Amino acid sequence: MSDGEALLRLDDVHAHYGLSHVLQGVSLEVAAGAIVSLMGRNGVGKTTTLKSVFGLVPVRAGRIAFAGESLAGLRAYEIARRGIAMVPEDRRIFSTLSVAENILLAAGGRSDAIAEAIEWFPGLRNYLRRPGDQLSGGEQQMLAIARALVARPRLVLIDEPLEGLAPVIAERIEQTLQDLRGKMTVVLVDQNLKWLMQVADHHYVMDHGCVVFHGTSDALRQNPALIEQYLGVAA
Amino acid sequence: MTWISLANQLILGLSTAAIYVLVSLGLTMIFGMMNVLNFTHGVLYALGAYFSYLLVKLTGSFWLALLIAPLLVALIGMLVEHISIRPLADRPHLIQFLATFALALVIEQVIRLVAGNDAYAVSLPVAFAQTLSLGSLVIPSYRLFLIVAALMVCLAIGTLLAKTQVGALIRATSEDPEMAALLRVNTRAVSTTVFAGGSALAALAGALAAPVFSVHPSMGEEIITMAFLVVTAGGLGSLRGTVLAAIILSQASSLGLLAVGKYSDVLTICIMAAVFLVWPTGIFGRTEGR
Repeated sequence: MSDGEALLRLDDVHAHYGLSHVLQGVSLEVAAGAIVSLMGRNGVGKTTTLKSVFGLVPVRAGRIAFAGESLAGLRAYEIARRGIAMVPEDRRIFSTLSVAENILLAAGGRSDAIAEAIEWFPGLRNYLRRPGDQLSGGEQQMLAIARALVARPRLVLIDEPLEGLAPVIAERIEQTLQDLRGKMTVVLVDQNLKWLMQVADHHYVMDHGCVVFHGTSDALRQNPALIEQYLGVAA
Repeated sequence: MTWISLANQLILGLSTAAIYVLVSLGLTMIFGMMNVLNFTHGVLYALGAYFSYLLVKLTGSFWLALLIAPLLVALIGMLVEHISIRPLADRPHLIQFLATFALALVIEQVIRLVAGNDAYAVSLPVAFAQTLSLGSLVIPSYRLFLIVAALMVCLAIGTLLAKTQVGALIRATSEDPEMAALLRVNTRAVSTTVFAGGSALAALAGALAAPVFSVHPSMGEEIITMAFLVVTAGGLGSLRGTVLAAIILSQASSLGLLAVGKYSDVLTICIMAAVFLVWPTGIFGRTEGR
């Protein structure tokens, strides 16, 4: 990956939660059109890395650039308007808004957004009027992803999309994320190593707030010791 | 006849409730959005009444005053938000409360400096200056107008919040501002708009109250106590709770006058205390704190 190609680039990013130094110099590059995974055990800084892109954690040092421009000093909504969307781990569906309202809000009121969301997840059609707090976990996750996609971002950051979902729904979401290839640039955080190796082109493995490995699926496969040490599974 | 005095007190109580509702709706919307109890809300109500007095004097039109006074106060509300709430957004609620309390005192003193300590009277608009007679029941028509006006404002706000894209933006930003920002919503602009709208509602209430209560510098202090009682009894952030609590509070005082005469304020406080004993977070209050 050369500098010119990187859509998202983090250079030596440091961030703190109070006294705890949670990101200790994270550097990574996401090429336009790529699907990139961020792996590691719980608490190593994957979610914080995603949040740092939107300035949701105070970045003390380092540089974050999107499409060649620094995001420093911009507010979260301005960063989102540059073309980055995020599907947070806890989905954060607005409970007092209906499914349709959640979608329309994300699309800035664009009237064809509902049809677009139904194309991604046909199941949404059946509960468009239901309030956000009356959805199952899987329905919430589909809505959360649809909400990010109808904003038509250039880059979407997705945090633990399969966590706690029934297998049949997880499969549906896996399929949709695979369908994003070529349409959007994606950064995926998840625990399912096997799936990530199938779906992503490039992987970053994190430990203690640092990137300890990055490379292709093949490179990762050839490194079982690393997988066992940092991901806690036998390759 | 007892039923006539009863009907009279009911209507008087409802028209007072109309003013309480308009003031409290703005206060509770601002709380729902920013999670701050805004003490300047009372002086913004007073400013609405003063501007209305001034505009009626200048233009001779009560209706023009009713339109322009809220707009002027909306602008002042934006300024209040900018200097007293925005810089303290990350501070504890008590600090924000104290900052708005201090600013309310400053604004009240400015009112006293400019307009003096005297009370002013605004005359009733000609269209509602007469009384309506239903048999031996005589109702001032302006009181009925107040009730209808408050009902219409409530319906308009309810529809705006429930049925429009702007309403969805407001609900989303109230519920989870960070997620709304991730979905490209300029949450600060939404907050400022709600603050301006809430301020305009306070001013509308002040302008509507001006012909029935006199316009005086401490009117803000008097109304803010009632408004805080109404929004907490109704359940902070709940619009229907606000309407219900305003009616209970004003009827307790109005009907109480018939039942216990000059002790009606004591009765009112007892009823409100009972409300809090049964519903500690207000009638439609959230059970868990935010």
